[in-house]
Amino acid sequence: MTDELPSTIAEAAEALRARRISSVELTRALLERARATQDSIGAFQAFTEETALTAAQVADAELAKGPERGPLQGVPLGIKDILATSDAPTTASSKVLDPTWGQRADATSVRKLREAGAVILGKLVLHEYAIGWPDPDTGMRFARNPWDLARSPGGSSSGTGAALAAGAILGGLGTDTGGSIRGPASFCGISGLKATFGRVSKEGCVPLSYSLDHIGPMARTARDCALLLQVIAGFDPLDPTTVRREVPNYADALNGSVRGVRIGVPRAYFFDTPELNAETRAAVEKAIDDLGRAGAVVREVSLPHAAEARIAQRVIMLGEAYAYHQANLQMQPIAYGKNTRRQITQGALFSAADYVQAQRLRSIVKTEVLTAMADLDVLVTPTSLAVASAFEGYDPDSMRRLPSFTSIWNLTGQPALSVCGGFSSQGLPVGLQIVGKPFDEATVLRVGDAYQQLTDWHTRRPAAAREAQPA
Amino acid sequence: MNESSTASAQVAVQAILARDGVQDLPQDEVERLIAIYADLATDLAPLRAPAVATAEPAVIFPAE
Repeated sequence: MTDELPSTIAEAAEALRARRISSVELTRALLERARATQDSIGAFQAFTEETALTAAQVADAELAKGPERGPLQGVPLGIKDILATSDAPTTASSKVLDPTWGQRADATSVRKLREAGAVILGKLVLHEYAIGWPDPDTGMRFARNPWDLARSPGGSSSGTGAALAAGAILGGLGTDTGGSIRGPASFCGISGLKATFGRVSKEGCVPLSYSLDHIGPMARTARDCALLLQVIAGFDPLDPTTVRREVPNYADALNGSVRGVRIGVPRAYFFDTPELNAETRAAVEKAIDDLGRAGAVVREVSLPHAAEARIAQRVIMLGEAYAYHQANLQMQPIAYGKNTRRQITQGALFSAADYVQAQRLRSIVKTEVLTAMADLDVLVTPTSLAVASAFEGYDPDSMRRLPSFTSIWNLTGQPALSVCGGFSSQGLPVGLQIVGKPFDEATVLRVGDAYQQLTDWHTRRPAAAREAQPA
Repeated sequence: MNESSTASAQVAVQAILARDGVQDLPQDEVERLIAIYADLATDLAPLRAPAVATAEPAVIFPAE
């Protein structure tokens, strides 16, 4: 049975309905795999085995007799430990967060997953408070990249990315304020979607930056991201930033074709910055060629303030984060990890006028991007400057001055998906980012899915995951 | 960064941290904030570009 474990949500949904495997069997097998990799990869902050197996038993009974709850029914998932869950504490991977914060009902997105029959295996490690870089001195667990254990899986949704690459879950939730879903997706060779701001409720999530935070799906494939988004998307009266907008059937949009899709390539900044690794650029250029040969219409596009968007995003993110954390920085600054504290305290340096100017620039960037995309369907860029960084020798302060290809889309609020776009000569995944118009996640997912029909990058698995196969 | 700008950045950062009650940061981190502050006017110059001065900020709050 375990030799043929499904590796995607779509495969699991089919296997469960064909009775080739039960949800209980699948849950036990993935829990075993997760525990086998916990010492090396360390993706889980906590396991919720008891409630997971109970949910799996319910799913098996319902799959036999009804009701049908859709493709997540009986499928094992994981939750970034910054989202509240009723069956486990929430830590935000920090010693600072008040333990009583998480003593509550599920976050809205988690509740929706459970209502769809999903099986939650546990809470996944993150970079403390979804910012910074792991500080071993805090004693908090940090995840390692299954493709190379000496490297980071990226952050801040590090555990979700690592658990997926390790095959310990079939899908999960991450959060993204400047690239925290798409970075780990890029570095771990998986798929991750930051949906449009307002598409997914943030209720029950520890905030980092109120106007930039997004919750989104992470999975092996774009199709699986579509299946997860279908469940978690929609208006939530508990989150005033969500919008009353129809949620389309995302799976219906996945027709396997990019024929006629109009792709914009913003070469300035996203391709010509000297910090962009040559292999990463070559892989993304190749992916664009592949999409063009498959029938997409590709042309260059200009985004005049792309570089400046990074500045606005940092001022807004750090200013809002500092506002949230100021009281704890007064009372217990040393309880934070050093790298977290070094990031957040920068927010103290910005004036109120800086914040408003950043929001003005945000308006300009948003208008420019929408104008540039008026006759386009998506933009395609690299997700990251390079492959995953090694822990040893990494300077977290370097982030302050490096270009970012992801944070601009938090500023504009547009949907952005990262899928695996190839591998470096060292065997490390390269991320391909697909950006859509507001609330057009369907086209973004269509392009990602079609690309995954053209390539097999997303099917590759790291040795650390293969070695963790249950006996 | 010259001595004068470092000195004024030091005064500013100490004042900000005192105002905010954030007093117990490690010294190396305070020094880092001073270095960042000294470069801030240059780093944030794009936020003061003429085009930005006429834009509406993206913070308009709906009344209902």
